[in-house]
Amino acid sequence: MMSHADIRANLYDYVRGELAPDEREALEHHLDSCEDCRRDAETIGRLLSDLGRGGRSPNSERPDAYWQSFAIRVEQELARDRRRWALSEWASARLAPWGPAGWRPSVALVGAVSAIVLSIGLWLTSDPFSGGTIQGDGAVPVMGVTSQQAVEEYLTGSRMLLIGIANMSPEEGKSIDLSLERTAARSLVRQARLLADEPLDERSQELIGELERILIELANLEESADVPAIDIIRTGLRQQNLLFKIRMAEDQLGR
Amino acid sequence: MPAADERALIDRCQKGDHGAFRVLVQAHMRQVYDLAFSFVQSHDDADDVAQEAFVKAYRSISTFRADAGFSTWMYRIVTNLALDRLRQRQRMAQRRVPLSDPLVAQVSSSTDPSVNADLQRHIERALHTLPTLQRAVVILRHMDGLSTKQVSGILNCSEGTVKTHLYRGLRRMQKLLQHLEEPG
Repeated sequence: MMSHADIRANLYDYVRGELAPDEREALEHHLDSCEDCRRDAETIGRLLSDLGRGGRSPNSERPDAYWQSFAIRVEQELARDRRRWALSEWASARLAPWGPAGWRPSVALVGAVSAIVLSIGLWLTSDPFSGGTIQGDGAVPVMGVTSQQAVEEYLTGSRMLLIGIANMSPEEGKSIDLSLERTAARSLVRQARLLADEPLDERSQELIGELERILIELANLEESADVPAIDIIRTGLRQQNLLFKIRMAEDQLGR
Repeated sequence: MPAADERALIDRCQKGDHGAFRVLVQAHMRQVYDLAFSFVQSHDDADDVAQEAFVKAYRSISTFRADAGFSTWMYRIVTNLALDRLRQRQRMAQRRVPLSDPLVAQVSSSTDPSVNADLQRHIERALHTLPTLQRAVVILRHMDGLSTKQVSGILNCSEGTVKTHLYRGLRRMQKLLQHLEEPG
């Protein structure tokens, strides 16, 4: 004995003539005595006759050139995907000592502080502000060697600082001393402003701008910050994918 | 493409042959695009979904098993991506203030005697006002002619659920289209 729900679930197949003979017979038996289900069957029959099946092929509205390049575009996307994957593998390997598997906050903090100290050391021993030269016809900025070096150093410093922040693991409810990070962030912000005068390509300018905004946030944190404050920075980092962008830019510059 | 040839191409893909994957893309790209379009109703979104579907397919080709056809497997990927896209759009639309129900507005304001000629357009609109799962079932089962079993495999639900969604989707469409049948 089929219930109303069973009947309704099978009405499409019935109207399309796709039911097995015994199911069809049982359904028709029910329809003979059930006005509601009979009306439903008629309604679906009418609708299906109007609805048609797969008449339109939107793909034909695209020009041939679109289809000729379709597979190539998929391959390009795959190549980008492979680079992203390789980068994430690289990052996992590099960050493994600070990684989440079995890590302790103290280890993470040591890692973060080491990275910051190292980054500050880098700026103290380098002179990234020695200016750059414009090559080419001047219509499109082309980075000179010194500009490129300055950008590379800025990116390295930012990366190390931000990796340290990303890997911090302060305990809930406890504050953490961020004075070193704030100093490093201020130094990087100053460096970013000097880089604004350099003849940089558009992508580098954009990345430096994005970094500057997050570094300003970091520089303006309280000296002793709590978990939510650090999480705001880390969320910004993740949302903007900044560590990945830095690594990509470093790869480009290193070629 | 004969099934044996397709199987051989998939084997080559699983061994990392990019050329074989390109042949598969070329064989299925139009079908994949049409399915994506039937969900998202926009060429830009259909392009995104179709491209993304092949990228995803390549990434997980090693998990593909021959017992499901490649088309059905691709259908599952495209359907899931298209449904994600629709949910995304829905979330964005919810943030805006709705002016009116576009279907009702369209039908009730129409005084054109040739309104019956626009039936197909109204049906399409009705289809795209259905909740996403009901829409997916109507598209896959009715428009694309897949079996209930195939649709249940694609949507990862029981055949009974497919049938119920199909019934509810069609009933809902019929209610939306009642305006067309009412005189005046």
